[in-house]
Amino acid sequence: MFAPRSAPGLALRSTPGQGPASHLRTAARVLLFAAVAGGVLAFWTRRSGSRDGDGRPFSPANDSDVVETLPRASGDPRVLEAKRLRRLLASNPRDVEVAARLARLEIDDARSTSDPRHLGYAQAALVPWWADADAPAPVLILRATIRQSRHDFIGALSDLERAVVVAPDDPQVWLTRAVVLSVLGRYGEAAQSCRPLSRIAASLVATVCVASIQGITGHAPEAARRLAGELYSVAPGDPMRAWGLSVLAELTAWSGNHPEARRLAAEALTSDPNDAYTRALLADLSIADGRAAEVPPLLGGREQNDGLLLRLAIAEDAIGAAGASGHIRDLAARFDAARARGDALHGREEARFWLVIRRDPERALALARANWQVQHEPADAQILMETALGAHQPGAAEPAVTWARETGFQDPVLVALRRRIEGEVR
Amino acid sequence: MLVAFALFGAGRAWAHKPSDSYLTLRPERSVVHVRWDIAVRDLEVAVGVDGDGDGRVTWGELRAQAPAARAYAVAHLALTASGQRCVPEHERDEQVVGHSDGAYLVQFLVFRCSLPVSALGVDYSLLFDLDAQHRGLARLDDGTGRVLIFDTDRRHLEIDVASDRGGQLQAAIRAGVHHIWAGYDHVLFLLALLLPAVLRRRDGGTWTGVARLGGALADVARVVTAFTLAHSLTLTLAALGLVSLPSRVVESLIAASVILAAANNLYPILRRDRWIAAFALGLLHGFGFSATLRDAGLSGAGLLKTLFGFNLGVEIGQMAIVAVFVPVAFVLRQTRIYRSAILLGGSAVIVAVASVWFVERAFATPILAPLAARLSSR
Repeated sequence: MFAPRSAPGLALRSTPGQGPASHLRTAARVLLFAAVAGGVLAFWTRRSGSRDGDGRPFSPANDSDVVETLPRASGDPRVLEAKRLRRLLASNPRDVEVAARLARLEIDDARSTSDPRHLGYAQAALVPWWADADAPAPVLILRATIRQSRHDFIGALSDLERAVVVAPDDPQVWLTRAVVLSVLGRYGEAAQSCRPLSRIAASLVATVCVASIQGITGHAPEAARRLAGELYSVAPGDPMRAWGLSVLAELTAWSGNHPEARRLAAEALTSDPNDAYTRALLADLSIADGRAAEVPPLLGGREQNDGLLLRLAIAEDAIGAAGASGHIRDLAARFDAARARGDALHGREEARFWLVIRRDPERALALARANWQVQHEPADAQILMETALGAHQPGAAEPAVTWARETGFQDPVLVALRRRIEGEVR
Repeated sequence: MLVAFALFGAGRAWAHKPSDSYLTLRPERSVVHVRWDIAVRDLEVAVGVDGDGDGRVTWGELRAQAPAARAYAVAHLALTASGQRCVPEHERDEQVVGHSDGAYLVQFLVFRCSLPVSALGVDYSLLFDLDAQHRGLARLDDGTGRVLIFDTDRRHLEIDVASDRGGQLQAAIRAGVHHIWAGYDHVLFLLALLLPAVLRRRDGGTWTGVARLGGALADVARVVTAFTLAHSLTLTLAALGLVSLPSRVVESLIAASVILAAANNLYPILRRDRWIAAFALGLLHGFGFSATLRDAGLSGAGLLKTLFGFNLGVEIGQMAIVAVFVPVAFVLRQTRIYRSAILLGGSAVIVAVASVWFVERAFATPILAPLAARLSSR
């Protein structure tokens, strides 16, 4: 930081003959230099200290200071409706109809806001039946959805197996069951679970269900073609269209056509801007395609969502943006907070954080391996392969390689990773 | 009704941080001091804090609902000492703090028990009726730092509180060390005193390196210990409530003292007797430390032991910096870089930084923060 040649302090090595005036001049020069250097140093220390996750308590100076902005104002109609149902339920907690209505409202809100508090609110409404194996049908499907969101796939599946018996005409049951089976890697059974949908739901639902599984089992291009054909006939305003476009975007990416996949994801987002999954997909594609600079405008203002914050931090880190260090600190604090509460839902994302941002492949690999024990989706296989390669332990990716070989998953990105691993293991 | 289908993939569920509250329990004889951070968002659901319904919670709205929040909190936390119920009291006014996911209201409570707290029982039920995934994270501040996690299936825990022989002292020592290492102004002050320690100023004004490392270390130890002794004196007086100075004055004077210490390297007034200056400035810094201790909520019975531990920690923290810095400086002491860039340049930088602090603190004028904001909002 100091250039020894030009350091004005050199002049201070005075000889006895020097007068006070020259001392003052050199002092002035030293102070000028110091003011600049000090400003830089103090600015730096402030910046690094400015986002302490767990700061010191303080009293805001004015009553008008805004302490927190709520995701929804207390006068919002959905907030009022939830409050009304909660009051109704308080007077009769075992009213299944009211409890299910409240839980459904909260689960919808959890989806549209990505905020897990709503899942906790939904669960609270179902408390009288939470441990009840013979819960009423509406409770079963809601409980399965909440359990799935907690990554309790086995618990969710047992609820759904009961639900298909007591409510065989509920498309939500069959679809959720297909999702859970697919996450567990049981693709044949998952495809079976899509079949009744063509009879009891709009045809797009069955198509998306089947296409999602075909995409994993090595038939992404065909699945994408069929889905695209069906989407033509869906009205632009139909909420299911955004869902279909999002799945189509992912299938297109797995078929190797990233530019078209990005276009489709962006189109899905215009009709459903709150779909965090599609937003993350678009961010991932942009990062992979060397377009990290497009990510901050895409994700700015959505930092409350940890998955989106991760992508934002990766992109900012890649382009050297000013906000990177603050976002990285926030993210680390969120992972710490999750660990403190005993959650293990973040394996995939945390592994990526340690691999890409912290550049600690060993630690990332440990997280990716633990994550693979819980879930087997393409992204889980990819992070296991990437961390194994990064840590120079290609053998550690063996389960993911086997998975890719057995499913026939054809995403060129994963195929390339697989080849590298097979080359290194040999 | 077929709208809720966008859920293929487990990754869709993972998103925001769920609801947690953070408790710190500090047992001290027959009372337990409790600091409790509860998310403003959760208080909105539990008691309602958005008075005007605009979605923006102001400090005024939050303060107006503080009594309701307090009543709600106290109704959902029960502490027992050896089975006897402890009685909660409001200790001091609420504040706010930022956690990784937003603002939290901080409540300070004290639970008075009829027996000394050795077997502590905790019953936690905050928010469980509203949010079944809420968790309470309680840190036990008895020197062990154990963390207890409460959820809907685990609402009651019994803990043996560490019989407070070493625990509290250790915690205080750690706090002292941490205070030195985390506070920029104290590190800079120390560096200002350390920079010339490996050099002697000849009568003509030129510097010459000291001959032996031992001599340099002894000189430094004198300076640092004088500082510690002085600040432990004022810290004790302030913590016992015998003397108190407004913190703005103290903080400004501390900044001024850093300026003086560094300026003394550029235009030495004090040479061999730097320990006298260190002692005088240490008196001042002690008042600054006491603000830290007050923030940590320390008071009452264990205070003297805590003060002793804290002072010891400050001394250890300083000595650790000395042990790293002085040998390196000793090796470099004959080089031009050390004498010009590091000694004079470094001292000048310290003068500049401390000057900015002084202006900020004395005139309550933020300089760096707005600058930083402007630069980072580019």
